[in-house]
Amino acid sequence: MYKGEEKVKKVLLMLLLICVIPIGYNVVYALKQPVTNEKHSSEIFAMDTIMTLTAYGNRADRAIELAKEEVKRLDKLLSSEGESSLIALINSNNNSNKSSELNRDAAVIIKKALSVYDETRGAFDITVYPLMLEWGFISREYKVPSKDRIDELLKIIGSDKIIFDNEKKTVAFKEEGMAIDLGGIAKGYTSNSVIEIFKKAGVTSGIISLGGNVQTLGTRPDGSLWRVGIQNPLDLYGNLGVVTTSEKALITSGGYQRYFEKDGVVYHHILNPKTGMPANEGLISVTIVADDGMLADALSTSLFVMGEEAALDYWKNHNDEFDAVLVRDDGSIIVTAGLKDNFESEHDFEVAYHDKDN
Amino acid sequence: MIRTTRFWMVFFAVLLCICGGASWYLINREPGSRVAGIYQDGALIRRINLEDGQAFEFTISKDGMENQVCVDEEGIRIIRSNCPDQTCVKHGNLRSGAPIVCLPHHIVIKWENETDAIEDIDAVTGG
Repeated sequence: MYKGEEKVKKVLLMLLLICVIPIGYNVVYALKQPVTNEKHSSEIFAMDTIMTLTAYGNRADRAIELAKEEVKRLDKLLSSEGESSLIALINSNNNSNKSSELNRDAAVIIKKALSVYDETRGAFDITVYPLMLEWGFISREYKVPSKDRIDELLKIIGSDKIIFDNEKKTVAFKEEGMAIDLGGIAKGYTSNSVIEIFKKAGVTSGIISLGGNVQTLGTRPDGSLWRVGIQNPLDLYGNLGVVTTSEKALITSGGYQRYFEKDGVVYHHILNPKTGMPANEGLISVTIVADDGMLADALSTSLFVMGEEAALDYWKNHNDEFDAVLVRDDGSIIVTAGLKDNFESEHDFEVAYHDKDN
Repeated sequence: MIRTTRFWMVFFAVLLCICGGASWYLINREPGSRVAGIYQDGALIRRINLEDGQAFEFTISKDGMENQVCVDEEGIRIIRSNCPDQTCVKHGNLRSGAPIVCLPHHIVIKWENETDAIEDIDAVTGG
C-alpha cells in the first residue's frame, strides 16, 4: 500500500464519520420524537362554548378522549338547563327549605362558590340566575328589565339564602323562586378535572382552553414556559400582553364577548348581584392567574364586579392565592406584583405591589 | 484504485449535499398555501384552498341550522346564518389566530396549515 492510498483512506473515513454522525443523530431523534413530544389536540363544543384540549406524548390521545367524556358528563350535570341536569333539577325544586341532593361534583362546586361569596362579600353570587334569565342572557333573547322587575328579583338573590349541608350533600333555598347558575365557576372546576385526567393518564405536558379559560399542565415539551395571550378587550384580534407560566389556570372575565346593545347603550352579561345591573366599576377585563381553576374562574367575575380599588385590596389580602391583570375602561393595564416578571406587553403597564413589597 | 477512490469521494460529496439540502428545506420550508378547514361538531366537512382564486358561496345545513359561507379574493367568511347571536357573521373574514366560530351551530372555520404558535403563543384567555 503506497503512502497516498493511506491518506485517501483517512479522508474517506473522516467523510464517512461526517455523514454518519448527523444521520445517526437524526434517526435517533426521529425515533424518540413521537414517543415523547407528539402533539394531540381536539375541539369539543360544551358548556355553551368551544373547548380546545391539547396534550403531548404517546399517552395524550387516550387522555384527551377520557377528558372529552368527562367534559360531556359535567356539561350535562352542571348546566342550568336540560333534562339530565342536576342543577336544573335543583332549580325546579325551589320551594323554600325543600332540600335537593347533590352529587360530589356539585357539592364541591357549591361549597367553593359559597366560600368565594363570603370572601368577596357577595361580589360572586351563583343565585344571580333569575336576573340572568330576565335579561335574556341565557336564551339570547335580550331585553332591558324594568327597575321594578329588577328590584323584585333582587329579593331572591343572595347566596346567604342558600342552605348547604356538606355532610349530607344537600342544598335548599330559603326563598321560593330562587335558582342557581354555576356558569361562573363550573368551567374552572372542569378545567381542574381535565388536568387531573391528563395527570392520571401519564401526560406531563398539556394546555387546555375552555372558551378562553386556559389551564396548563407542566411546561411545553421542550421545557420552556407556556405563553398565554390575554385578549385585548379594545381589539379582539390582538392580545394586550402575554403571561409566561406553568401549572396555572388563567381565566378572564370581560364584558366584550357576550353583550347586547339597546338604544345606543351596551349591556354585558356580568351582573352586579347587588344592583341587578351589568357591573360597571371601571374595569373591562380581569384575568386571574392561580393554581386552582375553580378559584380563578370565580375570582375573575368577583374582581370585575368589585372594580379596581376593591379588587386590588382583595388581592393584597390574598396575594398568596392568585395574581391578576386588570384592564381599565381606558385600556390602561395593571399587573399585580407576582406577575411582573412573567408579563410581557407592547403597551405600558403599572405594577401593583403589596404593602410589604414597598 | 484511484478511480474507486474518486468514486467514493464523489459519492460522499453528493451525500453531504443531499443531507445539507434536506436540512435547509426542513428548516426554511414555507408553511404552505392558505387552506381553510370547515368543521362541524369537531369533524372536518370541507377543505378550501383560498389560493385557487375561485369565488363561490355555499350553505352548511344541519337540522334547520344554516350558515352561508362566501369565498372570494378577500378570503372566506360567513355571510348569513340563522343563529341567534350572529357572532360568526360579525367576525368577517378569517384572520390569523382568530378562527370563525358559530357556537350555536357548532361550526368552526380555521386555517388548516397555520403554524401552531401564532406569535409564539400557546393559547389565549379572554372573556
